Amino acid sequence: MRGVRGVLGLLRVLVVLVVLEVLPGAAAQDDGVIAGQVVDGVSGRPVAAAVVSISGSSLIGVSPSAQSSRILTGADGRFVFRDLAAGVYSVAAAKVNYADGEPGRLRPGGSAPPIVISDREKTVDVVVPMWKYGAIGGTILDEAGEPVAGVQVQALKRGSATRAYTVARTTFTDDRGAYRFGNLVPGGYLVVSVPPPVSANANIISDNGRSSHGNAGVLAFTEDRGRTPGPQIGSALLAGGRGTVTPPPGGSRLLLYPPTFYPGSASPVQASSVTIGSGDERIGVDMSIAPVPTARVAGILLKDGVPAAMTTVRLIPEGTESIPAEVVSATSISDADGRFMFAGVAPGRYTLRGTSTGAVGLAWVDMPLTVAGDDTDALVVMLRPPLRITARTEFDGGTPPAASGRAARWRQAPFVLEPLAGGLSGFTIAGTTDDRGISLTGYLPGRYRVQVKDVPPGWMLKGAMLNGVDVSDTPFDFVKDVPDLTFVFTDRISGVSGRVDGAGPGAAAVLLFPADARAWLDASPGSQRFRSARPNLRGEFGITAVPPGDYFVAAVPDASAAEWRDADSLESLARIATRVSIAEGERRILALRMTSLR
Amino acid sequence: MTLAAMGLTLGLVLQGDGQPQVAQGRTPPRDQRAPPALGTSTITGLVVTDDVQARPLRRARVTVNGPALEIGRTVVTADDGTFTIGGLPAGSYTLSAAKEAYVTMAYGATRAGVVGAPLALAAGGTARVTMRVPRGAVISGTILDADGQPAQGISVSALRRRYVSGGIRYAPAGTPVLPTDDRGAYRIYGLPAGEYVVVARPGDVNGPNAMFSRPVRPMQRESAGRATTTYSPAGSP
Repeated sequence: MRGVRGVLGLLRVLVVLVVLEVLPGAAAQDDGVIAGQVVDGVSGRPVAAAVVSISGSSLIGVSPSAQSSRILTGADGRFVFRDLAAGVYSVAAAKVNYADGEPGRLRPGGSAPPIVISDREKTVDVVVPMWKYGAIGGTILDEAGEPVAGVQVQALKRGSATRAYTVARTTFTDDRGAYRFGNLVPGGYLVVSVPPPVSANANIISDNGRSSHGNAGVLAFTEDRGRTPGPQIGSALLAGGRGTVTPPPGGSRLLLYPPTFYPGSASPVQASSVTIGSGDERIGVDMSIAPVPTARVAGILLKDGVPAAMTTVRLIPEGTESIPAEVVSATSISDADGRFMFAGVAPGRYTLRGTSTGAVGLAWVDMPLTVAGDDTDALVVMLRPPLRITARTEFDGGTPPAASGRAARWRQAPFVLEPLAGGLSGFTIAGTTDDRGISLTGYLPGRYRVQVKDVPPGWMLKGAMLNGVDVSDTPFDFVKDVPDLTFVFTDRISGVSGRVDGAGPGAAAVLLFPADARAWLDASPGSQRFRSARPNLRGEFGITAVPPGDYFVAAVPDASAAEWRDADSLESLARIATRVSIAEGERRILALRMTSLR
Repeated sequence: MTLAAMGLTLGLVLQGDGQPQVAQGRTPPRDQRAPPALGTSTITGLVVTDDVQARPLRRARVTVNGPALEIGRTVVTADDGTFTIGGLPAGSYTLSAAKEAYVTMAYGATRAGVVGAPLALAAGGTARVTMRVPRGAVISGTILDADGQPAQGISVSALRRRYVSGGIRYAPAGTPVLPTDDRGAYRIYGLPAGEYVVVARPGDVNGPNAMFSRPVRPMQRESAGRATTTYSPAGSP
């Protein structure tokens, strides 16, 4: 025992020596403390036996024996990390049957602000709420009341920032038609069964084998290495395999099972969200699925008259913009001659969408298509070349920054077009501009957000003008070539500053956001119109380079600022906020008082 | 290949601006290659359950393979269990029937997993077959950890003992199994009748920590009762 202590003591000395070597004088300052309590997010009672871990840039290189980075909470749920150097830390709590916990969260799975230990603020006290996992289960029956075995069931959860759904879980029913999603973070879920059909011309498997531009999606058509293909309906091949439902045999009209949302609709608009609270188990989320009559939609993909082979195209139903395309849209893959075939499409309005990257080069299609009850066999679909954007900068006001020396860099204000979910776009292409403008291509159509990554010193971005509309903070639909995107910079910098009363040092956060609620859905961390600031020790704050406009400004406790860009949070913030109007070049001075939400 | 070479006559032309246009004076796109060998022979048949009182099996997938076919062809049985595969060239074929939760059977085979009998088709002839497909057996249970708590996310499989060239080998059987759920529960279905060893693999699927059960013999039909095996990975195999 003494020997072990001796070794440990030696290790400590070594660690201190290492730290001293890396950060001279750091040892004397390593007296920061993060203390806290893990509590149940619903009852507020302490959570015992949770493993609390700490990580942060300042811990790298410090031996685990010098500082335990994991602590098991006792009956009071409390934990404390000592001897911390100044830096940014994050704390996480884990326990079986609980979703991971982080301090400052307002709801399960929400975002959490990092913890800052500074020379002035050495002790930080945090509360870590944890919520228990929930479960959803049910049974899938077909139109004859027979349990459907092996069908794919997915749980979709809505993202907090984008409001679009993502696939949270995928599972398959068992021989009784039963499914279960365990370990679900509390919240609302859409449950959807039956994957959308994948179909193609029956020769697709042999074509894919011969093609130099194979398509990985063709694998969906076979089980057992190509020996067992999926069901063949006329000249169309349907993907079989795991998760799919075998359709009824063909009559005059192919009957197919469409993706079905709980409680039983093909459209997510009529779906009911299944809400589970902390520790809830919702069983009996049962569904009946039934086939619907469909029509065949087939044709050829051409790029400049050349067939686009092995290209995946989707038919995306109208009204499903918030749902991932792979959950609801039928897929087809073109064969060696560029011919595609959707074996069965329920009548309705769709968007035909696809990207080719094969022999014909980057090309795309994105167009509305209405499917009536009749088969359509001779669609000729022309793929288009990638989109082009031409951008330039304009300096509004004083003398533009000089085109020499260090300032030359600023003449080329770098910008990024960030594609948002939902369209074809999948690329982020950065560009630079100068007085003459710059032209970039390679973009696919979709919804984009433009972000300027750097601004010349002494200037601020006034706007990114496209056809007379400022798109600097509002996503825009990039569906045809953009000949003139203008970045306008001004040297008349507007902003807000002032002081916050009624808050201790570091206790408050100042939040600024547009007064127009329609802009709230476009909130993003990079936006100039959604800003946050922490007042200094004297309660003073400043937010600079705020574009002119009408805003709400609120000072709230720092811990409740974690997810403030959510539309729901903005609505509560607006009720306690001060409304200000900022004119061009105006620097507003405000006196705020910290107000708690709720 | 160009548009002209494809000889398009009349088709809806869709431009990227989304306005469908009718292209005049062209023929629809046509497959220029030789069509797949089309014959005049037919296989027609019935798929039934392997019960004492056999029932027609709806929505079963019947796949035919043979040297005359580049890839197999699959059709689906009707509500009365019948199916027809037409347009086959004369020749020798193998046939199999599959449905989720049932045991895939080859035509002419006496049990699952063995090669069936070939079916000879004369030109213009029709073969009539009946295929019996048994409902798969089920093994379900719970995996617990050393503390007696449900072990989640553990991969479990049912291994069947096979004699291969004089040696014994174990091979997984049944439908791909989901990892144990939040209650530690697993369910392996679609199993042919026989004796199995259930293996649970905590951690890496191919890791050394596999735990084996004693051999279990699930009942052929679930209605006759199902085998449940509960054991702790911490216990002896």
